[in-house]
Amino acid sequence: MNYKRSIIFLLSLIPLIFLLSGNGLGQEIKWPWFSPLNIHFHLRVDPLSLIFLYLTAVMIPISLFVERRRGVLILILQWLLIAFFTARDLVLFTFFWEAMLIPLYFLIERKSVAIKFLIYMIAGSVLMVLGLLAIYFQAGTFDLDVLKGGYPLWIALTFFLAFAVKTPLFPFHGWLPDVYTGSPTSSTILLSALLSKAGLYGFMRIGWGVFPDSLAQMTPYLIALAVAGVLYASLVAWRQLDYKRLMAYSSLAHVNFILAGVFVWNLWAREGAILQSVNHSITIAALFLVAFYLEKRIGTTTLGSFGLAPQVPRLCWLTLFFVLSSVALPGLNNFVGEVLILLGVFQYDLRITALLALSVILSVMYMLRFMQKVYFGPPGTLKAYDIGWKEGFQMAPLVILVIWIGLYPAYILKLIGMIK
Amino acid sequence: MLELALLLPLFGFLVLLMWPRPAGMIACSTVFIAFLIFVHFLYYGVEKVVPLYTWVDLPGMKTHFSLHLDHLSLLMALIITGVGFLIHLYSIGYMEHEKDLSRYFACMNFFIFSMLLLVLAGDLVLLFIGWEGVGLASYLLIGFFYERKEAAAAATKAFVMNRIGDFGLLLALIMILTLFETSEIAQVISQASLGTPFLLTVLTLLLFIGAMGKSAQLPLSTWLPDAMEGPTPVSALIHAATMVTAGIYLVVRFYPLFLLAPWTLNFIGVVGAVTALWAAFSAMGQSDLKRVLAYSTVSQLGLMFVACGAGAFYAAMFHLTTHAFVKALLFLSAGNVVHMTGTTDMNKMGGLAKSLPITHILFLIGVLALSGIPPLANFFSKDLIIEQEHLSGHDRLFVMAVLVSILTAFYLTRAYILTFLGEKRTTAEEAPWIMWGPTSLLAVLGIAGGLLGLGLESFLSLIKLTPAEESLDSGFVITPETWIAVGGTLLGLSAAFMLRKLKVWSFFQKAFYLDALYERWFVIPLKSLSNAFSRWLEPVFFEGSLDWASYGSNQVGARLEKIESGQIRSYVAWMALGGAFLLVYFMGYLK
Repeated sequence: MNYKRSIIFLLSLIPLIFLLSGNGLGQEIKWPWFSPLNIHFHLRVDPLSLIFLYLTAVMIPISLFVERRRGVLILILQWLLIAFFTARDLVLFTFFWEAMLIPLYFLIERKSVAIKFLIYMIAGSVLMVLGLLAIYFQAGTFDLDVLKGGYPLWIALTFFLAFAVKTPLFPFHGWLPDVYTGSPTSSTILLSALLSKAGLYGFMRIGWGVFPDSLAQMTPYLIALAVAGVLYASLVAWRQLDYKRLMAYSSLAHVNFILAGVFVWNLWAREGAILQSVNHSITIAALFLVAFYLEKRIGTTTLGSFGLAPQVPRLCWLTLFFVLSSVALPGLNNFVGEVLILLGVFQYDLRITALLALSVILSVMYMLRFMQKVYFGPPGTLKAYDIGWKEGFQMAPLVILVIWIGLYPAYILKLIGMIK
Repeated sequence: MLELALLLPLFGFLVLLMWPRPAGMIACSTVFIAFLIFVHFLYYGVEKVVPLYTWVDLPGMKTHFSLHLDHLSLLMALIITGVGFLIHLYSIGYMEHEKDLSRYFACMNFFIFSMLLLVLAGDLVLLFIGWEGVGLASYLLIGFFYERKEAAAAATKAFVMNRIGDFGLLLALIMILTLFETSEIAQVISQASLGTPFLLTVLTLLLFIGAMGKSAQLPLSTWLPDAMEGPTPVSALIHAATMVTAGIYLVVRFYPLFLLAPWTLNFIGVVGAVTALWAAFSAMGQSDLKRVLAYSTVSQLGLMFVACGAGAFYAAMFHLTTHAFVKALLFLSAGNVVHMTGTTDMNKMGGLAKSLPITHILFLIGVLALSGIPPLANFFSKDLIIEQEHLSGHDRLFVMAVLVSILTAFYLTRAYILTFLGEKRTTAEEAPWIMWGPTSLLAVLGIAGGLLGLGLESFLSLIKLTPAEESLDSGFVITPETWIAVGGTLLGLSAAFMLRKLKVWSFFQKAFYLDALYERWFVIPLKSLSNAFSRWLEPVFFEGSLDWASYGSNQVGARLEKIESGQIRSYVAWMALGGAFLLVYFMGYLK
């Protein structure tokens, strides 16, 4: 690390230090911004924001581990995310939602992929701006504390579409595989661990906060899409020929699982969905880091029969650990969230629960196929060197989080429990 | 104390991950101390509840982790640590030439820890952690020789099949939380009558699906024979004596729920019986020594479920105990053979009685015991099961159980003959003492294990595990059923002697082509679907949608471009057309 990178890394830690020192909850900024339309620069940290702020504060430094040149862009993104997760004014919310695309466009690096991403995102959210104006004409304010449902369905749908594209909800995932696999690892981590959470946060904050009646009305259809997404993405992941793509689809399956919980939104599903947003970020960031280490060593992301385990035993153990976390092994983080979501969905509909629970079988199928191909079997011709202290240091926070949440979820659930 | 016994093997696992030497000693000592602690509990009070901490505390989901020692879990814990210790000891000899010894022993210790967690858990979630922990240990150990393609494939298969069962267990957990608002096992059982018969039937079925996966019952049975790719001591410990009995344990643990769901009980009995027969027939056709024993395990597990189905939970636990001793004995002596000859193919063995005299005797004891020759261990337990079927009026299951015991004698004797008698085809020396020593201890248990029946019944009756057996004073009464069973065993034995030259029927060798069937009906269609999705639907439709959209806008753009021709008259024409349209449109308003 040269000194510039070190400075950027230290700067990215400031939010985390700030949050850990107990500041955060209840902090508020409210400046008038554009008084004719009654728009305020209004940020406030409530418990739901706090969870996502923690996530941002942890994930940004982790993505900086693997980014050499464009750390500043990541810092800008961090700032935008913090503002986005705390915005209490709908205009501000929309503003930061769109503004995030600018650093991301440059972070994705490959131009064809970046344009694809940008077009899809803008296509998803262009109607949202229309919805934003419509809301103003209906309610006369943009204040999220005041907006409380009762708006026409089409307005809600413009917002849902934007969130669905960014998360993404099946079938709006057309951009995901190429963008996840075609970007540098740091961007993939940012996209999968944080940007997908922006979509989920949108459903939670705006969906349940501003359009509760519309969302409840749409719930059956949205759940159907989410469940279809879980099964579809798992099946697609199974026969992938590229391990980065496999992880991209596994991420898709997991966020759709979370969305099923978001759409049900009873006590258990809510706790589960928010917890699972955290868990998914941890696990998918770790898996993409693993993919980064692998690619660096073998120079390819093809899923061939490599038999690498004898050469890289430590990396193999580490991969297995996060694979197990991803397949929701009881005792690790994802299990807690999945049980809560399933419990919540069970109150809603029994058959949907059974379909959703099928993911425990499918996830093992695709994840263990990946393990078997890359690590086990007769050793191939590829030469690789094992991971060392540096990688261990990068992974350690994620390992600790996985075990901690898995074995003692009571603490974080208490935090989530404060969300009304 | 209890926490200590539980955590010692975990400690061993963690130490072995970092400190590779002397792996065997560390692993053995943790298990042995744990065993001593459980023996201590045997003398100084059994019932113990150790609250640990609160996992989740939400309205409608109260999950407080606690350890719960009672007679049932103590019996299991003694088997796990006792047999486990002997097998650990044996492994020192068996694995001495393997590299990566510390990984082996680490995984073994992790297995012991998870299995103890499974049986000691006072909460279903905690039990689930142990449940999947043993699955993970099994995955790691089946794939111990991961450089062999078959081993890696078998490991994956075992995990996936187990997961299908876990799917049931997970739904059962969700259902229990919904119905009882707690996952504490004792509370669930005490409130069992809260559920309607229908809900309880569904719930118990889901639990049983979990048991089917772990205990390799049809239709989730095909992973166990493949699991023989693992080192032989692993097969002895995990795939014969302990982990595969977790399914039985689960059913017995929740027996008050099962008693309220007679339909499920019948179903369990039928599944057990069909599995037992299927596996027994399949065992007859195997030419691989370890696979014979694997199918035999499946078959015996089936018998235990038959006992559960008739409500004879005590009989199931008794058979579980004696089976653990004897099957471990058979596997370890088979391990001696495999270790010294370097093959598992019985066609390449033969005449080993001379070169492996001790192993020969040990294996013979195992064969006789499991075949049910009185007064060896399994005679009593198997006899009890058969009698219970008769007493509870399950006549068909009774006939099937007798048939299974005839077949058991047949295939075991056949394996014995092929391996130890006949002409000599390979040279070998006797195994070292570190290997035959622990095996002999198991042989002693296999001979005298039946005596346990005297104490075990009253031991387990303390937790009211013997409701259906009150009519029966003792398992040792010589009744007509006993004579049928013993006669059948002798028939099987002698048939094996007479038919030893018989060629095996490939239908049995392939285990009724079940694997091929699954491949054709499930795996291949699912693969085609997945391929169709990922190779066609994804690129063409979902990802392609973007390309279509851009193509579409290009086309539209090109069309619109043509309108802009640069000729004044065409602009004038368009303008006139538009003006006329507007005029007509607004005239409509004026009216």
